[in-house]
Amino acid sequence: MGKPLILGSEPEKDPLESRTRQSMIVSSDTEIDWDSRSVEQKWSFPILIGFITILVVLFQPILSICLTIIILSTLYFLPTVSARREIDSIRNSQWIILKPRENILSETDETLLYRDNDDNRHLIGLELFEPSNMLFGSLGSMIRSLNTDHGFVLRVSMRLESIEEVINQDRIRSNKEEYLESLGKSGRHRFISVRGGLWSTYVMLVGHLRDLHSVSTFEAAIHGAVPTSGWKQIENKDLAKRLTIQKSDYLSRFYALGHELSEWLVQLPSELAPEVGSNVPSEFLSPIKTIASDYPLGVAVNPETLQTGPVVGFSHNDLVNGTLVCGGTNAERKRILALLIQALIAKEKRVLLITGNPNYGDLAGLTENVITLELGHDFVLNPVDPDNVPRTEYVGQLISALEILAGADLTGAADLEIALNRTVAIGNTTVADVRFDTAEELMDSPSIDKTSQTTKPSNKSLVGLDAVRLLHEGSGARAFYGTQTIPIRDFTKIPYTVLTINLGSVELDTFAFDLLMMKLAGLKQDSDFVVIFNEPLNLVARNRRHYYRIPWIEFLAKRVKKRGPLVVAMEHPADFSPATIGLLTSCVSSRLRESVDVKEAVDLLGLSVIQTGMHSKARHSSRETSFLRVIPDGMAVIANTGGELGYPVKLNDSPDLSEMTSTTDVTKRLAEYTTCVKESSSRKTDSLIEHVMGRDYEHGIAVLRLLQRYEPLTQEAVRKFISTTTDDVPDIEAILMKLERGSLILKGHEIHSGVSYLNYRLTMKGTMALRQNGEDLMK
Amino acid sequence: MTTISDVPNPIEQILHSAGIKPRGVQKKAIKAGIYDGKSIMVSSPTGSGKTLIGEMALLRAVLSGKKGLYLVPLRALAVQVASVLKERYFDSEISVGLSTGDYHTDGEELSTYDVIVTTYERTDSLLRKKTSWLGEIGTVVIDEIQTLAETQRGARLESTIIRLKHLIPEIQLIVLSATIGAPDELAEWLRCELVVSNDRPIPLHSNIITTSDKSNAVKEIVMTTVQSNGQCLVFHRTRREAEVQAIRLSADVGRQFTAEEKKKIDDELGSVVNWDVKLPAGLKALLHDGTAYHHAGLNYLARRLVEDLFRRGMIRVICATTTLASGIDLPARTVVLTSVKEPSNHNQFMSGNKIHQMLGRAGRPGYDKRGVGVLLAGSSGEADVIRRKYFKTSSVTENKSEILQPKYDRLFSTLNETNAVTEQLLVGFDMFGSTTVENIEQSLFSDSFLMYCSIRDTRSPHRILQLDELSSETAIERHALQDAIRSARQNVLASVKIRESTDSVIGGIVTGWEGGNFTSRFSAKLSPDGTVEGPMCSCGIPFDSNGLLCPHLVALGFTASKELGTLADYVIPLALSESNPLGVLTRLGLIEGSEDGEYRITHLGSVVNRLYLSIPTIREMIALLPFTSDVEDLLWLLRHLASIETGSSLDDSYENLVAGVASTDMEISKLAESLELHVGDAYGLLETSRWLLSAISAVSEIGGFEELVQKSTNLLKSLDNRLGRTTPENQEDEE
Repeated sequence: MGKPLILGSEPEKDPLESRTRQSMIVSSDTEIDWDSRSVEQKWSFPILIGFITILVVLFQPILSICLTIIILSTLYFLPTVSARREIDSIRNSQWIILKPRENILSETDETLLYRDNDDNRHLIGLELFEPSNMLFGSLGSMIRSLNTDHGFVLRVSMRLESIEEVINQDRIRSNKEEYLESLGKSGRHRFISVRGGLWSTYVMLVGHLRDLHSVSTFEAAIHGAVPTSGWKQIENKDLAKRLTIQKSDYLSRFYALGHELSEWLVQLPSELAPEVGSNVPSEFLSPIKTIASDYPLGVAVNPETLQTGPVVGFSHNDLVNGTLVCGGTNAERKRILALLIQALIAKEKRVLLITGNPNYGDLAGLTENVITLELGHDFVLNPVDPDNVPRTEYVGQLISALEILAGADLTGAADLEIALNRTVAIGNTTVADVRFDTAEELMDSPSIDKTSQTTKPSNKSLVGLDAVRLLHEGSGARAFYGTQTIPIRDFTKIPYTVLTINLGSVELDTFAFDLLMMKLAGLKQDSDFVVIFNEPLNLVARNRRHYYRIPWIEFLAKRVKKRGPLVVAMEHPADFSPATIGLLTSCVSSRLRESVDVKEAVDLLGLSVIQTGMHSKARHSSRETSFLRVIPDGMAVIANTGGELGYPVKLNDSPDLSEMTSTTDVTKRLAEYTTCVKESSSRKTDSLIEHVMGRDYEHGIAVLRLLQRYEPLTQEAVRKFISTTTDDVPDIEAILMKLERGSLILKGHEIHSGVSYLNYRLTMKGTMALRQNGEDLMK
Repeated sequence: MTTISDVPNPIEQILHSAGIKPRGVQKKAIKAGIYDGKSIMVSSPTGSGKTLIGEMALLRAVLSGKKGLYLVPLRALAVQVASVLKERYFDSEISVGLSTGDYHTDGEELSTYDVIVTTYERTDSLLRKKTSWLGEIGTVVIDEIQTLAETQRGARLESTIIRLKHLIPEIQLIVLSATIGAPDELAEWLRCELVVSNDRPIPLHSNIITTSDKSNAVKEIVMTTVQSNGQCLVFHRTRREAEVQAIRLSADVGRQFTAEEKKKIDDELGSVVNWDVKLPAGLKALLHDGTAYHHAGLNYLARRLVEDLFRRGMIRVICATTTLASGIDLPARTVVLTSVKEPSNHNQFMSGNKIHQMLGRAGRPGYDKRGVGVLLAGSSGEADVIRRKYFKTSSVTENKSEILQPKYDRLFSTLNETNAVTEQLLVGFDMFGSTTVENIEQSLFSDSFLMYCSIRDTRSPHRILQLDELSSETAIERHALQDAIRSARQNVLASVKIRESTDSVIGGIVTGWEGGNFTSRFSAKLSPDGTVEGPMCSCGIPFDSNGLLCPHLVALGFTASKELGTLADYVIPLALSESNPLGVLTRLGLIEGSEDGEYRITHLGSVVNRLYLSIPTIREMIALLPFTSDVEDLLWLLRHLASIETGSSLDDSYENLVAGVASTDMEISKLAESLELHVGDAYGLLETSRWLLSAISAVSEIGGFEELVQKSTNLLKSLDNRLGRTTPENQEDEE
């Protein structure tokens, strides 16, 4: 891995590295000689030498004279000796002189024709003598525009120039010249050397073309790609001559400072890269230093060097703000999710993965400490149990959720709402308890005129009720009928839960997701509880089949996101409605195939942002987006809070998913996680009756005792009993309601001569409460 | 006039002197041995002269020095029969007595009569009181035996028949029935010779009309009939509907009458004979237009007047409730049924027998060539249901029309009903003294129609009766076939996943062996319409017409019983509305355990039994008596009990009525009117109050509530003073 540069991305290869590296000196001193890159030595050493020399000269003058004579004579003879040794070595080496091939090149009208056995090529040369010192253009686009079947020659020659010579030849503008002259000689040299030296440069391009037609396009392509004046076609004769004698013209016409040159050079490999396979386009801006990512997914890929960069992933904040995982095959998304979940578990976050795709079940293999549930198999979701959502809100939401099953808009289904409200309010109910107040009941009312006006449940309500029936009489029964196996809030206590929703019907699955989202939205905000929805069918709004659901979906998504960290995985980002996708701020995307998906992802990944990048290029690239279509396996594009724009990431290897989990004792382990709640709720300071009745304790006991003896007793009798046994006026309704809500008494009915009477009887809980009360008294 | 035998029979002589000659079905009955004291059962359509067969048998008993008992279901009918008998046999010096209501008296005063006309309930009450003259009975005529299939009354009737047979083994039973399904079964149980007659004097054409506007359809039918000089009977489910319909029709019907005809009606209404008749406001105007309504809320005289006017053809249309349906012979050319649902429960269909009895009134002998019965249905779906439920159809190919033939229901015992079993168990303990439950089951219940049916019927549940301890399994055994239970025990019926198990509901998903998942649940919860939800199953048929649970529910029940134990024992019996009769009686202190697992009736129990109180009534009574201190509370309790007994929801006006009658001199009818009560109802309620007051007084005495005894006796006395000498004609029936 290369060293990061302070300024921008790192070149594939440091051009200075090619110079022989001598020794490494670490110095805190800033006085570094540019030419030798050596650090100036400290003064102490020369002073010591000087002092010794003075001592020697003073006390041993003869010795010093001898030494001087030896050194001077060595210097005198050294060039002669070395020249002679060089001549000897050349003489000893064996050089073979090759005869140049003849008749290979022949001049035509416009081009130079190269013949090699059966291959003919037209050669055309272009040279650039006076480019400006800022060379605009794109080498990449140039290369693309050329037919490079036979390759082409690009020659950039450079020669170090002496600044004095340049000034003398009046080749720079006078104002600059004045400035340079004002610096003085040493100042001028420092100025130049700080900027990488002054080079005279020459560019020559020779294109190899198959036919004559391409000649004109070649020239046009070059002019278009490097839009600078000064391109000049090399005379055919001249070109032939140069090619024949392999001679280069070292005329120095182009001046470039070192850093300008480096820009030229470092572009080259990355520009070439996309042309070779599906490499990362250089338009991506990869981070060059590690951004604090809580949940690493892989390493960044430098689009210019294709070398891997720092570790990247999502921060916790990304998840809190909503994260989308999209694109790719199932395996790809599973890999990303596995990496994410693994990181989450490592950070001791609690994770609930709800997957609509049973193939993701093996994600449970990430850890031993997992609860695997399947809706309809070991998990029952009770639609009329609002969990923690306030009833007033819940019923309205439930109706919206039912719309998918009803296949219709249920707004205004008043009877349905009343029925649901009642069922939800009673508590301890299931979907089988939902029903209307029968219209015929009203027929009993004495006025016959009323009967004609009695409102029968509206058609909408009937349609809605049919949808509810599906949930307990139809195919939805196995998933939705029954008491909820686990209260939603208990999920927040389990370290890792995998819940599979696969009911075999789009409508039911959608409903299940709706319901889960409603219930999850009712949980308290908990930043350490991460909910991951994989392929949530209910958020699919693409083909507008259920157009009336879109506001509902968006509402739901907003609520779920408000609760806490949220990750949504979906193959097609275009499936979401615009407002839903707008809720997700970070994204990791694997390969996308459909244009609509790409369009969505581009926005989310921030790829179409027009911005001036590091290399003075306008960052509006269609190539980034096209890269989304060809992302190779094991790579993805990520957009997180660290970099606003998406960049490629090489994903880590998928973790081992084979952790053995025993599915048999799910209930037992569930109990472990949920016991803490039960214990706390069962700890009571007062008796059950006191708990239920509060200040109506005495009345409660009295009613229970009465029922113990005479159950079932009609409602009228119980009321009369309460009202006659007390002096003050108690709230009879409240007492009965409390007893009934506390499940101490059960309302029933009996018929006498065809008239129905409501009656009350003790429940088992009521009997036990009485017994408990009796025991308390005994104590 | 010819006699049927050469040697004149004394019975026929008496009949002859009354101007009666046996014909048709009566001849068949004679042939079957009615004069020889044989028990027979007659099943024939209304108006074919069944009553006369009963009279013939009664005459036989009287002539042989025994007493005759004539049982009818309604007080009104009893009054009618008694007056006919009195009139007819006055010359033959046969004394006819009438006893209805008065459950608190022992009926010893009736011993002087030769023939006693009474209701089923009064007979039951006399039997419970072990009245002395019961042993002298030779013949019992039971009219309208199809009442056996009615809840509570049916059970009491069944028990009465069993005990009558126990008491007098050689008794002659004459059982009269409208046309019913499978009459031979009933006859066999009663050990009677069956005489069936299906002859109708006038052919009947039934028709089902689908309409969305029933009121308009009724108008069209009625007007078509009236315009062709016919009469029309329109049956309604509730009183209010009947009244409103009569008002709606009156203007149109009235237009068909000439001024002369109207004057005739007015003259009749104003005549001296009808001075006593107090018509409710509005009815007079309706009668003027040749229309009337008719229900149990009218007082007896008013009803008689309406019936009389109709019979004489002076009025053309009666909008009635089902009161008119049984017994009272009032034919018309067209009979319209606006609803086929039970008056008491709009969810329940009326029995086919009831429907056909009403339709059977169509066609008046001597006036019409044919009768037309019309059933109105609100939708074609309902029409289909009605057609399938009540008719056998055979299509006529020529004109693609259908011929509807009445389909009669078989009778089923209602003794199985929870409260009925409990009550009859108490009766059993009173009858046999200290005994075991098994003993009662064998001696009392084994003779019942219930047992007879269950032996005869292949689709009767595994367990017919459950008199003591009740578990979830026994509760299910009462509602499942033996095979289903056996396979459920072996776990081969279905696989069950319990999904909900709360204090009131046990439910689960049942995977049947034939495949498919069903959601089944036993719910003891109350549905919004106020009934216990009971068993439910997504297969759509939680229980069939025999009350048998679907296999899914059986499987669920047995699994729940295994997995949930006591919870299932609590919920499932509740959901199936099963209870433990012995437990109820013990808890209420009506019986007590004695040695060797035997039980005996307590003093309270025997008093309750003789007071003829139903189990819920006595339960409410003894629960509240300790908290009843002043008259106000007493009146409230009275009202509460009266509502339970009469099956009507009473409001404050009841208390005002009782208090008013007891403490003021205001005329009862005026008082009732001021309280917006029907006079007929007011009398009925006062009768019930007297009975209940004496019951309260008796029970309070046992409980030692001296003050309450005093108060209730005082109230009873003042009521007796006002009602004591009222003529029986003023007493009203129950609907």
